[in-house]
Amino acid sequence: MDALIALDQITKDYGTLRALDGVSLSLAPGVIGLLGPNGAGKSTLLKVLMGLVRVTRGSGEVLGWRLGKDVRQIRARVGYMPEDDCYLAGLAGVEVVRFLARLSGLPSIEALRRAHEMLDFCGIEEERYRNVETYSTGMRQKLKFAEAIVHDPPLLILDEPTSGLDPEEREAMLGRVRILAARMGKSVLISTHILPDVQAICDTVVILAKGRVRVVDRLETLCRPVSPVWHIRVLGPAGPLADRMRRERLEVREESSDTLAVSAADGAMVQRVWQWAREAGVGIRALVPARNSLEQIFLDAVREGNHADS
Amino acid sequence: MPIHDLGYRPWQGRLVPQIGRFWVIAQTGMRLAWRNAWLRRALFLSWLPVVYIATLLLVYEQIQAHTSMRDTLVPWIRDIPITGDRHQVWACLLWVFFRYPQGILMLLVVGQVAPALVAQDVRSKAFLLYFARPLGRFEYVLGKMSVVWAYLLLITAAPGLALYVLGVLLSPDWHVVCSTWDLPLRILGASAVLMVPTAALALAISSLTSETRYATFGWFAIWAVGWATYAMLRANLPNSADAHRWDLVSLYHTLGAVEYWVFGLKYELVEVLPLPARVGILPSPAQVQIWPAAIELTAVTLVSLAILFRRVSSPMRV
Repeated sequence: MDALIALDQITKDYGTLRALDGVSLSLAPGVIGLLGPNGAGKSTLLKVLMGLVRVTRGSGEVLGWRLGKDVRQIRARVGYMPEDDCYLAGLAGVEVVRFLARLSGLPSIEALRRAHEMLDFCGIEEERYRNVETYSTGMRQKLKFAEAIVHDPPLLILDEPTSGLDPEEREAMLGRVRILAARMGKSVLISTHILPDVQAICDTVVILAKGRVRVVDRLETLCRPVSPVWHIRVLGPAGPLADRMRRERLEVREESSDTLAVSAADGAMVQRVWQWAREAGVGIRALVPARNSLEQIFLDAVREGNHADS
Repeated sequence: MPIHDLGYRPWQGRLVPQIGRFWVIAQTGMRLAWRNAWLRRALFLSWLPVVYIATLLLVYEQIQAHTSMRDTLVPWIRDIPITGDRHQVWACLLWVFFRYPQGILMLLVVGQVAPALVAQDVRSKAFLLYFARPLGRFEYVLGKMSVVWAYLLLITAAPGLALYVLGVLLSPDWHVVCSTWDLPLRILGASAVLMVPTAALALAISSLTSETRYATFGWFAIWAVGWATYAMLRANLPNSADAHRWDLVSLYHTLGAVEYWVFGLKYELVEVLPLPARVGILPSPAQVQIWPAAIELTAVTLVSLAILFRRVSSPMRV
């Protein structure tokens, strides 16, 4: 399958500041999470993809169209939701969405019909007839999302789509992204600081730090530990079971008073744990394979980046 | 939830051609500007001078046809054109029409329309919305410029052409068209002289700030300062032959000088047309500095466009 986004040694300098430093990526279609600390170059990367800033060096393609040369074709096929609080002053919500649909090339009447349909999809009801300047932050986020999808683009680039939303709206927003990705076959590139959002909807994760790509992999692969680890939660104190397993030369870490983390490459261990628990006089409440937390992966990647630079 | 909520549906229609995208911006801008009641009043006001100038044309043509009316009318109407070449008289009246009522109304109309056009987009960071679409900076600027041009057309070319048609209809002889056929073209030329540099300048000022009121102030200040400077410099040379050399310090007077050239006015007209000459507003060809004035307007337009394009690009740089 052709790459959704292919970048080769993309470098972007703002004067003496290097925002992107030789970014090379090849991303397959799907839902991609773009993570990175503040100033990592995430927004610059998204703007490069949209042709909003020119790269200093490097080349790339988005949906098979060349960066810098086929800007209009890229913009016609990408729905961009900026992080900034941007709006068109003086217009009502539905007028803004219709206006942007027309700028994307939809005929006037069709743009109005589609604008109403997208506002329904995004949960903007009677407020659509109000001036956008009176909208709350949450409403503006939903409006920006409607603007991004109104021309039915195959790729969505969302910059912090859930920031400023209450938990219910955040879940609804993620639900919309899920629907577009799973049912409509859209690819989505999400830049966010909210790691649970990435875990909830993304297939692939890109971690950027100091303008360089530190990690690119599928979320599933990333969250799998290097060696198999099992989490065991017990009824009562975990100490006796830990001692019993140590006698079997297993590596055991007591994570809390009732939880143990056991490294064991041997799958047969799982069968014997029940027996050891009975011998130790404890009951097992849960026995599950451990996963790496995305937060830990993120922090490790950023730290590695800092060490490499220093 | 709306009762007709259909969820997300793909769209597979036919896109409109790229070339018309600027018009979407223009249409929306015009609609937003039209909400301003003062603008609507100014537009209404801009058609009133047509009545006055048309009356002068009517009187002139009647005098040409019936010389007996001359002695009757002259004592009653001070501004009446008495003699002279028809083309020159018509051109001069049209020049006066463009120079004074429409020139002043141009200031007011552009001052109502243009300041918000780019300043509001700077303030609301709307560039990110515009340029995330298949839209170039040229189309954006053309769209915004078209808003100003459309309203300026309504106060320059439209009433100017209406005035010409009215003049022809009120003339006793249809042959008047033969001697004035080029005036509609000159009207369009004079409208372009008023529209292009002023729209570029107004949008450049608008792009320099995120506050509409500062842009409005800047727009009027440029004209007021130019005018005041011109008046002070001119006061020191009351009857000098080169009094009009200070035209270049005032954009308003520079526009007037170029329009004078566009209408092809001649020196002799001062003798035959008392209206402008009496109040000392009609320069002679020797005094009109057409090339410096034309160069100044071109420079104003180019510098304004350079500022505008740079300002439109700058929010994307960070």
